[in-house]
Amino acid sequence: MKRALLCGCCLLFVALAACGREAKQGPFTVLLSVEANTLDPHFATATIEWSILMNMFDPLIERRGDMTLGPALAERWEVDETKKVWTFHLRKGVKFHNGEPFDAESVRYTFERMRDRKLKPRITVYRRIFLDRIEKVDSHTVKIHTKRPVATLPVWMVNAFMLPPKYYSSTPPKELLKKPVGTGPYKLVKWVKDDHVEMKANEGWWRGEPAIRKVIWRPVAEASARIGELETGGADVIMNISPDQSKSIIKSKEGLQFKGARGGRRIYLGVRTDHGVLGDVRVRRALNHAIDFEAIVKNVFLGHGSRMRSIVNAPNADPGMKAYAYDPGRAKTLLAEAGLKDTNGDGVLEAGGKPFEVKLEVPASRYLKGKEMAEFLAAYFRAVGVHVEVIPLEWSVFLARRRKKTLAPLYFHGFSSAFNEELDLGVLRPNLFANLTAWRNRGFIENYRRLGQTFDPAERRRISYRMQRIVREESPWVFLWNQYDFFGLSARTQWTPRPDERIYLPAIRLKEAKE
Amino acid sequence: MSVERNMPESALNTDDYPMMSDLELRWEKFRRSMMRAKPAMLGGVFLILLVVVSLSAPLIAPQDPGMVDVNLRLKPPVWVEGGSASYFLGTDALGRDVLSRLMYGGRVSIMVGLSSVVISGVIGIVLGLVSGFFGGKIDDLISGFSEIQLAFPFILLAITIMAVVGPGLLNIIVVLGISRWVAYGRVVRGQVISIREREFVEATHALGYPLYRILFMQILPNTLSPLIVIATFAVAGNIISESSLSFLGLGVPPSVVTWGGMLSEGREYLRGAWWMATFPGLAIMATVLSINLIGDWLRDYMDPRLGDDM
Repeated sequence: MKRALLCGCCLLFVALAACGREAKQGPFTVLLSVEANTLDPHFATATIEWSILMNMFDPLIERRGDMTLGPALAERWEVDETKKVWTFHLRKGVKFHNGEPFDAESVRYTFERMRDRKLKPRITVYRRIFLDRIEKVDSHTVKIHTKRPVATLPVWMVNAFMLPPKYYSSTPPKELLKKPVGTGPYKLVKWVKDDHVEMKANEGWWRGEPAIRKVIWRPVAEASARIGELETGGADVIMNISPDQSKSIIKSKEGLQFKGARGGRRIYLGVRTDHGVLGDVRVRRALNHAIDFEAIVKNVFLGHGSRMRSIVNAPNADPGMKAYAYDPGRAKTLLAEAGLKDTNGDGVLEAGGKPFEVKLEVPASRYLKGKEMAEFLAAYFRAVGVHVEVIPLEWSVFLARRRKKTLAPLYFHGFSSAFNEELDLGVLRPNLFANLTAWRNRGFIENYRRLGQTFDPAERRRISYRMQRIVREESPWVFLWNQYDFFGLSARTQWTPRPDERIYLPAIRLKEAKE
Repeated sequence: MSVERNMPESALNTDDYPMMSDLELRWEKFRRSMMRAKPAMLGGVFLILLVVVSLSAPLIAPQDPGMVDVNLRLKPPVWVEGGSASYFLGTDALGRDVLSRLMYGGRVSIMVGLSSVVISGVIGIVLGLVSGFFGGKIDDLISGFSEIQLAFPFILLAITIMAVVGPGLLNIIVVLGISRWVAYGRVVRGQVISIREREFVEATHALGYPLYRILFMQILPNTLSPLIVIATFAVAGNIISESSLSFLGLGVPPSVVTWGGMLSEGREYLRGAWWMATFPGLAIMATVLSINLIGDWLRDYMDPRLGDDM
C-alpha cells in the first residue's frame, strides 16, 4: 500500500516534468501501466517486457500482426521425417547493434544460454521444445534436434530472441539486464529504472529503418493520469484504460482515438470440480447459463467484446461452436436435476441439507474490471439460488494461493494465448500448475496426447475441434470472454493494436504533423 | 452554589424564574446558550438527523445497498439527464444506489466514531488517573510511553496496525481507540495533579475512603469538562480516520458500506461519474463540520474561566 502511494507521488512528479518536456515536437511516447523489471530476454516474464524486447530483438520466426507465424531471422525452415530435426536457413548480412554478425553461432549460443545451469534463466523455451542439441551445418544453417517430436516448435521460436554471443558471454548478467543488444528495429539509448526506457531507430535494420525515430516508454500507474497526459499531448499511445472511464473523454477531444482490440487472453471462472456439487457437470452448465455476459459487455465495456465461444482463440477456434446463452430458467432446471432444492425458502438452494454457498476469489487489479465483473457474476448466480461471496485478493496473494492450490472453488483467472490450438487447449491439462479445475476427462487427455504428435494441419484441426467441444460440454470453466485491450492514441498515431497485447513499433505509422 | 455568579446578566435572572429548581435552571442555561450559538444548533440538527436516518436506514432506505445490477450501472442523480427518481443520488459502478449506501455508511461512521472514543477515553482516563495520582515511577513510565506514542504519526501507526491485523469493523474501532488515548491521559493527569492536594481530597482520604472511590468519585468528576470537549473533537477525528483507512483499503472489509470506501470506489470514476465520490465526501464533511461546531461551542460553554465547575 505504502509503496503504491509512493509510486503515485513519483509518477505525479514525472507527469508534471513530462508536461514541460513535451511542449516542443517530442519523441514518440508510450505510456505503460506497469514497469519492466528486466530487459534480458532470457529473464523476461511479463507481457510488458516482451513488448519492449520485441522492438530491440528479432526471433527466428515471428508472430505477425494477424497472429500467424512468418519468417524473421530465419528465411525458411523445415522438419525432417523423424519430426525431431528442424533445419533453419538463416538470413544473411544481418548485424547486431554492436556490430557483431548474426550467424549460426548466434543461434547456438542463444539456446545454450537458455539452459545455462549457472545463469538460471527464467525462459522455458528449451524445455518446451525438448531441446536436445543445436548443430551448426554451415555459417547460416542450423539444425535443432529435439528429444521428441514437437509440433508446436515454430510457435515457441517467437520468444527466442537472438543474442550476440561475444557481448552476452563477456558482460556480467547484472549489466545485461539493463543494456540489451539485439538485431531488432530499435537500439536502447538508456533505461532509467522506475522512470523511462528510451530507444532510437536502428538505421541498419535488415527490414529498413523504422519510421519512428525516437521512442520513450514510461510507466504511469494511474489510468486517469495516462488519460490526462494523452489529452495534454504528452503521449502517443496509452495502454490499459477502460472504456467506461475513458471513451467519452478521449472521443470528445479533437483527433484523439480510442481503440479496442480483441485480445487473446481468455478470462474465465475456474471451477474446482473436486469441490462438492461442482463436480456435477449439470451444475457447471447451470453456472454458465446463469450469467448474462452480453449485459456486462454492453454496460461495462460499452459494447466492445462478446462472450467466449471456445477456449481456443481465432483463427484456430471451431467456427461451428456457439457461446453459452443466458438462460436462467435452464440454469434452474439443471440445478434441480442435479438435486439442488430450496427446501427452507430462503432463496438459496441446498445440497444434502447444506446451503449451496461458494466463494469466488478474484485478483483485485490484475484483469480489466475483474473485481466488478466478479460482483456482477455473483449477482447473477444469486438470482438462480447459488450464494456466491466475492473475495478480492492482491495479485501476489492470488498467485501464492494458486501455487499452493488453495484458491476458492470459483476463481477468476485469465490465460494468455500463443495463438496455437495445442497451447490454447493445454491450459486444461491436469498437471498444469495454474490449472486448479482438477478436471480429468479421458477423451480430452488422449486427444491432447495425439495432438502433440500430429504434424498434419488438417488432422490437427479435426482433433482440436473435437477437444474444443469436449471442453464446452464438460464446462470446467464458466466461460467469460476474450479480454479486450483498450488503447488511447494521439492524433498523429495510425495503428491497429495486436491481439497479443504487444506494442510493435514498426507497425505504427505517423501522420505528418502540420508545421 | 449560586447560579447567578456564573451567568451573564442578560442570560438568566433567577428572579424572573422563581419557580425553577437548580436543575431546571441549569438546563435553561444550557438551552439558552445553545440557542445563541447558531452554528452549533445547525450542527446539532444535522447530527440528530444523521443519527435518525442512519439508525432507521433498513426501514427508510429506498433500495438494498448491496443490490448489484449491471444494467443499472453508473446512473446519474435524479436532476441530471438520464437520472431516475428511484435512484435519487445515482448509482455506483456496480449499479448500487448511492443514497441507500450513504444511509448505511452513516451507521459505520457513527459506530466507529463513538465506540473508539469510548475505548480511548477509558484507557486514557485510567492511565491518566493512575499516573497523576501516584506520580513517581509509574508516572514516568506512563508519561514516557505516551510521549513515544505522540512522537509517532497517528495515521502511520494506524496503517501499520491495520495492515497486520487485517480489515474489520472491530479491528478498526480498537485500533483507533488505542491510537488516540494519549490526549485523554495527559489532560486527566494534569487535572489530577492539580486536584489531588486539594482539601476535599485529603478529607476523603482522612475519612478512610478506599482508593478507587477517591479516584473515581472525587477526582474524576472534576476532570470531566475538558474530557467532554476532547471527546467531541475525537469523534470527528475518528470518523475522518476511519474514512481514510477505508479509502486506503485498510478499514472495514469491502462488503461493509462506509463513506471512506465509497469515496475510494468513486475515485477512479471521478471524471465520468462525479456523484460516486462527491456525496460520500459531502457526508463526511458535513458530519465532521457539525461535530466540530458543537465542539467549539461546548469548549466555550464549559470553559472553567467563564462558567460552571460542574
